[in-house]
Amino acid sequence: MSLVVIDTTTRRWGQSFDAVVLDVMMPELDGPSTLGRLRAMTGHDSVPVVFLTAKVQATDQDRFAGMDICGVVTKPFDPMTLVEQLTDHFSWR
Amino acid sequence: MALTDPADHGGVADLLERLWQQRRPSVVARAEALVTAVEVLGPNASASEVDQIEREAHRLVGTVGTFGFPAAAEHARRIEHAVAAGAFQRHDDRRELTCWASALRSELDRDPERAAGVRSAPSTTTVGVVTTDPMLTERLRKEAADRDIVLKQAVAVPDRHVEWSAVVVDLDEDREMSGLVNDLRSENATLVVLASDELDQRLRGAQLGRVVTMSRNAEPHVIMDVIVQSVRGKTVAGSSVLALDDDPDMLSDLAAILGHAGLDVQAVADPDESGGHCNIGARTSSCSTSTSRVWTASRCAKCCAAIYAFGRCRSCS
Repeated sequence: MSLVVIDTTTRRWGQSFDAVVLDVMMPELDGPSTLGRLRAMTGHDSVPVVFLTAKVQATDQDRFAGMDICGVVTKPFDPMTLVEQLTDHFSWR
Repeated sequence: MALTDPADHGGVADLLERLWQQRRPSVVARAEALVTAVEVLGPNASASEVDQIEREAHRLVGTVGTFGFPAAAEHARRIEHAVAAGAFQRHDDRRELTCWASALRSELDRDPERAAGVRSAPSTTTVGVVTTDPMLTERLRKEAADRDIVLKQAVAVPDRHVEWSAVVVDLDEDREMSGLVNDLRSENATLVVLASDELDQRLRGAQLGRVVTMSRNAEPHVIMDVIVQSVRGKTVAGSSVLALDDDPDMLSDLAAILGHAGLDVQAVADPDESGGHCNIGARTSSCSTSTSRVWTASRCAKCCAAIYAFGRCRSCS
């Protein structure tokens, strides 16, 4: 469903995104599946993605390491440094 | 200089305080619902019941932790992992789950830890003003104080022992500035040159190159806005971020926090509750705020699986 929303909003509102912050544990279509489909969509194949997730166990982190993402920010996130963390991951400075 | 610069910590802290005051009743209600759900959890609970508890505990980990309740987040995480591992078959397991849920709920009656620490955090954003005009300094100093920025005046060269975040150079004097500007440029500080509206002054500012040139008559808050934006990094403000999370509260908080930093946030929720039938048709609504747009999307679970949106913006409702 998330991908449908992305596609709908992109086409309907003519919007593009500089980056994506993606939850991992979602019903229906989880973060990794969303990422996979996002990469298959024209115009979104190279957009930088960061996972924002409470999945912090080593097995989860190992799984994320092999994915086409810029990084992982763990929940609960620190609101005082969240922007800095994302900026680092997205290499915006 | 961090993007979420210390000078703005006060602003973020205030934002979080407001968000928490808005969010607290619903978070407490969610925690109490979790307590009830865990209390009635039996050894033969359905997969759906277990999944709901795991999911709600998972959501609460992020929410309560972000708002400064790390102990509550830890209790929620224990519940999530225990339920996911099926540790609710024995009476003792369920009693432990109940204890964790109750402790989680109790923690929310405390003051959030983050607030006190943030308020006492010292500012490290230091702005130097090179000018002989005390009036100019005073105008800027008041605006800087409101933003928790330390502002110091220098008549000639700013103190090299200070790590300047930005230096404002007043060109309204008949002296050579290129040497000073070149020196400061190597200090990695943001340089803002204030020039009068006279043509020769503006030319002088432009000739210095690679600095931000502003009118000396600009309002102090405009000058400070430019300084803060420059220090943060020009590529951040206005960049658009798409955020996807199945927790609408989490999305709303993300939009507020990232929007506060100048990011354009487009938030999409993917709730498992469909919220209704598709008789409103497949449509998408948006609601604009100053910095973000929030879509709360759902899907018809009864017939067509079409996407629709409530058009409900939590930021401005």
